[in-house]
Amino acid sequence: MKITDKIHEILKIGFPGDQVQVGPMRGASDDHLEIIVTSKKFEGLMLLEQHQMVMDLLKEEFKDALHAVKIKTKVSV
Amino acid sequence: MSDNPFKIINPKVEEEHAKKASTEIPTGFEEADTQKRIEKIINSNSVVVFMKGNASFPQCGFSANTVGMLTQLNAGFRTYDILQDPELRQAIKEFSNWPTFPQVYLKGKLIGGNDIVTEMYQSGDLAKVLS
Repeated sequence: MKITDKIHEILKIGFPGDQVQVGPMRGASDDHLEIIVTSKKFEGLMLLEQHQMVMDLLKEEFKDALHAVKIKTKVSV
Repeated sequence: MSDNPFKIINPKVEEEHAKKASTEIPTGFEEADTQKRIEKIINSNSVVVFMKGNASFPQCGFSANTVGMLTQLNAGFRTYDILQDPELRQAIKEFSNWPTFPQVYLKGKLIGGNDIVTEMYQSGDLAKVLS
């Protein structure tokens, strides 16, 4: 499975029903990804906490094939 | 009569001292010690950056970007090269609940990695919290 698909799947499980986008980071190798998650769960949370929620789901992947991610979190309305 | 009449330090005391010193060599940190060590580092300066490399020679583009923004805002900061310290590298990830570097601490609290610092830089919040 491609790493982008794998990460997408993991995030979809962590954020069921929410909008999750995963793609390669422009100008970087395959282990660098860009992630956008739009969720109601982020409401009222600090940016740090929002990112931590996403990072938390990817912890195991960081030990393995994933090197870096660029995260954008949005609160869905 | 002692072999060395000028030796005023009681050899027993010296021995004790040597023993104590040897136990103080950090051969492997217990969990609590690592925790204490991290707390000491993050409180050693108002801004502390755990990064790959250092401010002059960052070893990763994200770390470079973060120190670049801090430098531009004239923020005094202290960097800690986690590539030189694998044990701390692992421990910080758990302590911060954050798996990547750089990690920026402000007044002992994690403010985030490169993405968050960049967003804060662009919104002007970074300049605010640093002043």
